[in-house]
Amino acid sequence: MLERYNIVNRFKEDHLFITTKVETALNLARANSVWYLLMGLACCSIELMQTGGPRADIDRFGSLFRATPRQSDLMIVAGTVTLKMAPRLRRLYDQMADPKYVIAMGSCANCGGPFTHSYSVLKGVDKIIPVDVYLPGCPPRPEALTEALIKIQEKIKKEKYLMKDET
Amino acid sequence: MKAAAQYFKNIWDAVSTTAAGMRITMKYWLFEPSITVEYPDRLGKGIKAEDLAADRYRGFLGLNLSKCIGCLQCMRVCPIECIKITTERLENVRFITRFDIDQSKCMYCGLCVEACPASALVFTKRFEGACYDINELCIRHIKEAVKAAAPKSKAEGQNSENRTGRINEY
Amino acid sequence: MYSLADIIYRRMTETFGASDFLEPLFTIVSYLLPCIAILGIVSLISGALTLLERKISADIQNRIGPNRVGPFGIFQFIVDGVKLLLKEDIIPDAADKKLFRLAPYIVFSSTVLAVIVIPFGGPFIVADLNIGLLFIVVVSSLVVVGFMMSGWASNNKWALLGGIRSAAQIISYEIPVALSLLTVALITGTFSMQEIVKQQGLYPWQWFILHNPFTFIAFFIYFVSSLAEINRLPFDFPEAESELVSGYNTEYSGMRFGFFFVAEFANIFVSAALAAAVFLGGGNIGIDPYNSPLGYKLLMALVFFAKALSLCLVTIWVRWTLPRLRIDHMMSLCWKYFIPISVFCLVLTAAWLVAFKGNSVFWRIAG
Repeated sequence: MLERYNIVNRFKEDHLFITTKVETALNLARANSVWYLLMGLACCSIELMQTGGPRADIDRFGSLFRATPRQSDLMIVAGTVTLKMAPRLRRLYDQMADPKYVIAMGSCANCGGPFTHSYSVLKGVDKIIPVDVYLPGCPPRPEALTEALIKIQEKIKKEKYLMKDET
Repeated sequence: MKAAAQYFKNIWDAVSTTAAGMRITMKYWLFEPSITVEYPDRLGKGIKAEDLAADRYRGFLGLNLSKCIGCLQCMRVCPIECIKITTERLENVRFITRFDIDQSKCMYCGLCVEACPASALVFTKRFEGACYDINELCIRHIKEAVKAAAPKSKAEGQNSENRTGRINEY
Repeated sequence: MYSLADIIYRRMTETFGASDFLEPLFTIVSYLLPCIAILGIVSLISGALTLLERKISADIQNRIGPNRVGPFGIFQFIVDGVKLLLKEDIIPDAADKKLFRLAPYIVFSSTVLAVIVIPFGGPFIVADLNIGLLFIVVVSSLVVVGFMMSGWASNNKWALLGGIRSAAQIISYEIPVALSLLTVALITGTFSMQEIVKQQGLYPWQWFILHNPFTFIAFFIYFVSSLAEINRLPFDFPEAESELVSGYNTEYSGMRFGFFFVAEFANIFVSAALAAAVFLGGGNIGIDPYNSPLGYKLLMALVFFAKALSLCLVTIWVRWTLPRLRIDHMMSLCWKYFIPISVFCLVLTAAWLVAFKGNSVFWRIAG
């Protein structure tokens, strides 16, 4: 199962030609080039930076970081979202171009985490934006974030991109 | 005259510092190997993902049901109330009917592990928990009601094994 | 000197017979085919350069770049392109819509226009204009218009700042670029690119970089100024990520951004190819480019690509070494250092040519 991460292995399954649906090919292309927006707010952002670093390299999967929301597909909310930051986060999410995905990284983004009883913390980022993958940890390891990215890639590969009204 | 000398010194400084920097980069480019650990599938022979973590790594919490005495200390000491336990009493025997730990909220502080007198609650090395639905992260350790173990005496309880060790089943 | 377009024209008249009626058609087709081919080749090269940059930056930083998408990640740029095509196309409501849509095309076309006079070795040049060098300098200054349009039309203060800074930087650094290239034009006495390549030779002592010490300095000034022309670190203001959120690129999404991206890397290739052709004797291996067998012509093209590619690698290497300059440092570097030095190089090259009757250092040493 784990060998599926590599396109090269799929070439060995067929003999001369690879036949696939257009949708599968397009989804494969979209999944292998997920550019993420640096939304590093607190301590989880250090782990986010380390995931782009040498030891756990997210660039192997084709993920670049972009500073602007218009050019990124994935927003990794890393850190505590305070009530002051929340409208700005929603605005940045609205500025992203479709199709877009969100990873809630760490306890604070999942449900408020250690600051659940605080008066100024948003208890979970899924109160303002739709979240695709939740990642537990305080902070999660870079390998855990890599696994979350792989889950996003699997979600993209299963999406019905071209024919949405198929019953 | 000094301005002219300064001008040429500026040029020489610019060239020499650039060359020094580029020499270092060239050394890293050509001679240093990459240190990437290729998670998830090319970690090396026989290495699993959990071996990447250190020995006392604080991963998800694991519960040894044969040791738990149902004292509710972990529930009381958790600062954000992510552990929920219910116990019932039936003919002088205490049963534990619910033991839920909300891993999406847990901050891995370790207060519950320190507070457990029977060393039933320990940290494991499991860190992979990404999921699509947040309700999956609330781990229910009890499937059917379990009889609580008999509490040991205080002296025996404090000499038990390392509380932050690992267990294999959870 | 004749070019690819002339060769195609002659073949067409030979096969179909010269006829006055069909002559405009032959002319159009004979110029269109090489242009389309060159457009395809340049896009492919710039895509491959994006992948090469990611792999080299990974090597420098002790990590591995993209390696999942194909063997060693070679399909990564194709996958990036397909993804950019599938993104939503956002045009801000308060933006100037006509300018917003036009800007990426102006930047891309001014970059690719310069490719039609680059000698790819042998007879492979699309149009051997006799003002080739001047044409390149003129055409590559059209990018300023594109950057300013994208900065203004985005209705975004960071984009505007990025566009203004980029305009100041590019028009300042055009002067050292033009002056350095003029030293070579002085030596050869012509602007035609094939002629410049023909007057160099196979061995390094026959190249113009080692012709006299002033062209040596002029090569380095040209190289650094071309880094500034193409908005590349250490002159990275228009895209500085920590200061301006991606500069003039901020409001572009999807394939419009893809055009800017491809144009930047194509520009790297064009500057490197120009330096290779003018200073490093690109594509000249000492034999006649027009009357040799096809194998030798392809060898000449290969030699040229090797030289251009090695300069691209140096560009990428410099990007991942040096930090960004401050904007006042950058301006003083251009106006106080590069322009006086390049003017002196020009004047002293002229003096050298008069003193030694146009011969190079090695002729002097050899006697």
